[in-house]
Amino acid sequence: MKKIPRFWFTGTLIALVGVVAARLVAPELEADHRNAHLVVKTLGHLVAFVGVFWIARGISKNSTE
Amino acid sequence: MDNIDIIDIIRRLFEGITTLVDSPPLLCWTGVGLIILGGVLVFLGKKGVLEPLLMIPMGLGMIVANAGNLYLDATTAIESERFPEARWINAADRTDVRYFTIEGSADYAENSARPDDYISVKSEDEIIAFLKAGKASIVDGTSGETLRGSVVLQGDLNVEPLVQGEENLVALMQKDWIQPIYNYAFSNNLIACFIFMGIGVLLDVGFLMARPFQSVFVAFCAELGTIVTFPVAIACGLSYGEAASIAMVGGADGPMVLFASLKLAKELFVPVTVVAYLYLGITYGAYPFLIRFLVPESLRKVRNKPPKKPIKVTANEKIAFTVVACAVLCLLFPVGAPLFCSLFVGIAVREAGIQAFIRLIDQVFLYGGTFFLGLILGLLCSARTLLDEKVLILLVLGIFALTMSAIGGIIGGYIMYLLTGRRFNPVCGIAGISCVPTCAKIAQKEISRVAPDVIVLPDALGINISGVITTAIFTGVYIALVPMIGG
Repeated sequence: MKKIPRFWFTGTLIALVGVVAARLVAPELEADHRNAHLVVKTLGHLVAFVGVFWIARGISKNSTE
Repeated sequence: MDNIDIIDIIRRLFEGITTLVDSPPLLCWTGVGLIILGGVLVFLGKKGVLEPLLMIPMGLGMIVANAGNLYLDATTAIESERFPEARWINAADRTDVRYFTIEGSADYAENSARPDDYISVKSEDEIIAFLKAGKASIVDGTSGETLRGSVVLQGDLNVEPLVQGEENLVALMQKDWIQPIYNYAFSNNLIACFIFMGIGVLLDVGFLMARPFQSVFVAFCAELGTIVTFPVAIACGLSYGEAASIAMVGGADGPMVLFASLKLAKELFVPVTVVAYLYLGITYGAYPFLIRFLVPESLRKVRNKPPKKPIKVTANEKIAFTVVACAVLCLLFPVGAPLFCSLFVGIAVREAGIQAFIRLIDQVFLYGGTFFLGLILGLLCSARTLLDEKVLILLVLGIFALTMSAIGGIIGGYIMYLLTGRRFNPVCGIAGISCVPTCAKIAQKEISRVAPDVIVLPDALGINISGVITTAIFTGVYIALVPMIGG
């Protein structure tokens, strides 16, 4: 079986970390720590996008090698 | 038979003209104007100046919505839930028209002080009783004279967009010819999703993945209009939902404007969506002038930095990317999941090479959805829907949003020009506007005018496709954000 490049795992993991932060951790902070909730939610979204972008970047570099 | 009976018969035979003439002057002339505008849209669509797939059905729908009015029978008037808009017309003087004002309503105090324009009633049941009787005698507040008149409600047999009651909806679906399509395919965003599936089938995400940073960065810059129009719209007095709906016009993607406005500002979705589609048609002609104004000729000739080696993204990589991106975006913005699903399923079907599905989506869903979208939008463009005081604000904000998005895209192009060491053509920034592939073609065309040997279409397409995805993300953000901030 062809070896799956590492960026797929890294990118997906980064994206899922972002999703967990935005959708699971941030709601828990909403009641008592409103500012932290907003920060975690925003960062979570950004990290998720970084993960998707990581994969796209990896595909681009992989396709030129 | 005396003359009054003959005139009454003539009035009933040509009810489309009667209802137009009997309407208040503003409504009458707006209706006439929209009939003419509908004809102009059909003509411009046929000539190819505006998108014919949309403008021809929209134009004809607009004509029908304004020319095909009649006085609804009492049952239909009640089922339309618009019976509070019923009018009393003086039998002796048809220019004497009065509306009803209900005790306890918000504007009752103001309206009841104008007895020449309003008739006070205790409840909606009184209006219903008048409609069923078809006539009413009232005592004129000024002269004390008893006046006889008829109680009527003007409407059409096309579609009623804002009916809530289930029984009324079922009844209207048997009377209004396009109501079933509206209820089951339009108001639940199915048509918007079909069109988005078609867009997905047309997209080749390989262009995006060839230059991901450049594509995503410029596409985000091109969302400037979507971002800045929101606070401006709120400052103009719109609610959060209405502001977000008109801000989405800056994304320049019709289905997403429709999707957002149906979710966030249902009562204004008709003018918002009509404004969006009309402006999208016009911007194709206006954007080249904006490019020439913002980018000097010397910079329009810049050649993009080529890749070190040819980039070939396999279908497997595109599908895998589609799966991951769809899952992540749906996890982040579940309210936008229908849009993400539609877009990415179209992309996945294309990359999987399932020809039967590609033909189904491309030919049936995309063209069928576009046809019914244009037709229903046109049928919804009646004078009484568009004569909302907010429509003028929407007209201004719509053009503001699209202009700011174009400027944002060009700014993104300039930033990339500097970041790449002056090896990126700033005109490519206009491709960040998510009209695929039109804006990419506009960029190439404007560059080819001054430098025929400079080819930027692959880069522009990557940015264009990224623009579709970023606009979908912003739609999800607004739909999630507005209810949170109380819109």
